[in-house]
Amino acid sequence: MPSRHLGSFSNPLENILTDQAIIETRNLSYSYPGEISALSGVDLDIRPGEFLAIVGSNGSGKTTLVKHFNGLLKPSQGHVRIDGLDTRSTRVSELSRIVGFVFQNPDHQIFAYSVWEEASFGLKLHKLSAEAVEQQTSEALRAVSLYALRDRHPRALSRGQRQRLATASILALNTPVLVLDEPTTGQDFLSRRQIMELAVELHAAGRTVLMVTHDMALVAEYATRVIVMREGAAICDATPKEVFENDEVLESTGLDLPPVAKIARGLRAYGISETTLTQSELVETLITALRH
Amino acid sequence: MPTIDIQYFKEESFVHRLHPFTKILFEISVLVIAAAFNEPLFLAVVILGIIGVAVLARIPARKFRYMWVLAYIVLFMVITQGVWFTSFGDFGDITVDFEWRTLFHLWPAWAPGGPRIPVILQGANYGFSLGLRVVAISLAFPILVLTTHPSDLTRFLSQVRIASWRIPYNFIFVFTTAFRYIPTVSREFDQTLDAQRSRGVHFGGYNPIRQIKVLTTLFVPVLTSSLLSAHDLTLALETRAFGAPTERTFIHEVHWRRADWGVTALLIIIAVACLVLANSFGYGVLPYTPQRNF
Amino acid sequence: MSALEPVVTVEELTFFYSGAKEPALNNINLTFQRGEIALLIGATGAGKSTLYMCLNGLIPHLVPGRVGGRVLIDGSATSDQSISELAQKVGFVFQSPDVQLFSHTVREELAFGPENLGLPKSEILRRIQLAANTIGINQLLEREPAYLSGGQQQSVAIGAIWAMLPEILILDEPTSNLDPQSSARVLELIRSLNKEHGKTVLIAEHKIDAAAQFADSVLVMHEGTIAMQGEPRHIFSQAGELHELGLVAPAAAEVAYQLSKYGYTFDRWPLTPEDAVQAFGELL
Repeated sequence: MPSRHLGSFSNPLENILTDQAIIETRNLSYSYPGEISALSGVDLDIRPGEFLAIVGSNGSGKTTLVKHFNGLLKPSQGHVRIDGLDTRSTRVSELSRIVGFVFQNPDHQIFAYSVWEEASFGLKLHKLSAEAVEQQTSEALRAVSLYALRDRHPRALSRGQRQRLATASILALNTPVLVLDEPTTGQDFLSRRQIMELAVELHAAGRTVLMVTHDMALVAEYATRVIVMREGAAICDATPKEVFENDEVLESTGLDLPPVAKIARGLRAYGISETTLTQSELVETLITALRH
Repeated sequence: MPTIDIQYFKEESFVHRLHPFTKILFEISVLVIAAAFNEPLFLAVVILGIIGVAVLARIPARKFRYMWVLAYIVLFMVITQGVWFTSFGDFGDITVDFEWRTLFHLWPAWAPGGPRIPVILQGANYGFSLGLRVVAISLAFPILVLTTHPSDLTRFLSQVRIASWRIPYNFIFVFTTAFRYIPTVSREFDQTLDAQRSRGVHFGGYNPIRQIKVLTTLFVPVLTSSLLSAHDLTLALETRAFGAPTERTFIHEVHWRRADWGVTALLIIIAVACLVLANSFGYGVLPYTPQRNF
Repeated sequence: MSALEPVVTVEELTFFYSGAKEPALNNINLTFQRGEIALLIGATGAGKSTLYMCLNGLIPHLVPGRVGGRVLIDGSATSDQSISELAQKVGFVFQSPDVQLFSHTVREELAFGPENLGLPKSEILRRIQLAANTIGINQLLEREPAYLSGGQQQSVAIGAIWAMLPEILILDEPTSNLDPQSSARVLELIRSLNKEHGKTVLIAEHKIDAAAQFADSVLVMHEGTIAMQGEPRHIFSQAGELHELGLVAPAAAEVAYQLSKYGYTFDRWPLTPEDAVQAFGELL
């Protein structure tokens, strides 16, 4: 497991970086044509190096929100700036150099006849030199352990491998921000772990990672910051621990505590006050308590 | 991107309440009438009539948005017929007094050997009438599917009997179920569009070769996933006893109302009247209609 | 589950997809008792879908390949019954609602199976009512399936199967595309179909935390074989073995497993957070 470098406050580089938000929304509102508002007055600053989770039930506006981060949707009111660029006046193809978007279903994007072709396609669109395409594609395919299969037809891959290929095609773009839409939905345990380990590595290497998810265990384990959406508004912006201790938010959004946090909460009656987020944290807390 | 929206929409209109048979008869009448006339003015009246039916059915204008494509078809007909009209038409024994009028030459007089390739007014006019026929039929066809609930259509088609022959249920199922999957496929289309734009694909550029490549990135994923779900669909159908060796029951009913008698009679009268007007009296037929008299 | 009565028996079942050198299923022996809920887990590609297709007759009737052994549903072999006969005994709910809802209204979706069977109209109307009431989708009857939410679609899919009155329900990851609230509702529905209506249920799930607590038995598949089989508490107490198969136990059981490495033992292996609170509380 790679360690997380960016968590420490002593890192001077991070202090410089955090001054400037890489994604900034101001009073962002959006309505789909002919429908009531899907987002209303969202103000957010996302800084480089964050590992952000966006949660909320279906229809709460999560997906609508993140689609503003690369200009797929343009605000009806307010504005969104990506690395200083106003999304309303910038092409999606331009913003795609800053924000990489990994969608839930790889089959919505895979069109090429070989793994290599698929993974390098975005880079070619960005008109990079042949060497850069070669190098970044190889790196991305190695990161998802598909380099050995680079000449395969994507259809010959398993669902989990195709998911990794779609991820690689975005990784290759070397964008400073990565958005993962429901990265683990419908995945078995191994694929899930592979994807999340990769996300942790990328985050450790300095990328900003945003994930949209229903999986609270994922949030608890990986996120440094959580945004809770409800009825188009960001009703809570806090650390996972704070969110899982906030009964009001949990109740009003119908969010389920991750099992580990549920256990920890139940153990309050037995004198354990810590809201633990991961299994190893809980085990550690229990062992410490048991030994006393 | 223009999307073709020919999905049934719910509305309480006179046209919606008609029996599917009546509406199919309407389609057939439009075909017959549009074939009978070729004078643009008469066809324009037919088109107005169809628009009248669409208004009566309270079909929102946006459902016909894709019809702008027809403008290109009309233009194409006007130009090609203007050029080709006299080159291979057989005009039989036309005795009407008129003169071919040349509008201009495609190969102008100042060019060596010119003028050649005339564009003829009568040809262009005839091309215009062909274009209007296409417009009439294209406007009329969606009215059936827009105003008839697919279940009514399924039920009606399953009742069609010619002697002991019936339309096999498999065909009817495929035809009417296709409409059910329009929202599904259009969702997949949107998701693919989002995914490709997110990695920098720019749709709507001016370089045609690049655009072909760009469109592949859209259609390959959509077609592939449609084919894959079609496969799963066949399995799902089997588990619901589709094609069981028994006579299928239909619980859905379609009703034939008194209005259907009236509309059916009216449609037949109009169609026959138009045929008589055109063929016996020559109304609405251009004097230079290409035809063979055997 | 009081009187043991096998409703499904699988004997030495082996299956090769046509052209495949490796078997997708390798010598499977299984029994399901009437009225039990069995949870099937296994990594992608372990053979779960192939097993279902053997149970509802798609194998050997529709899917090409080589079959060995046999599957008995209520005592008669699947190979001797047509798929439409089996459809009335074994109901199958697919993972994705979109591929299994073909109709233009929910009412017709519920009617679709019984119509295909050519049942009398009055019987079909009765079954629509029955399914709508049992599943709780009465208010959706005139809606269009394509425009329902994922959770509603999955309920309608279950209702459409219910209208065929099968004895056995198989559900392939029925909640994988749903949000937590809809997942919980769908799982609760499945549980009530089992508990209140006595149906035998076989369910595959990756999200085992929710499903583990109400399963009567757990089957673990690995590379076409049944690697482990038994009561949930027993199976999930062996987290180490599960890890080797690329699987995990519910969080409560995982934590208990970690604690057991430090020498702590549990009489009743915890599966749910509530179990865990009680078990760990006792230790404290």
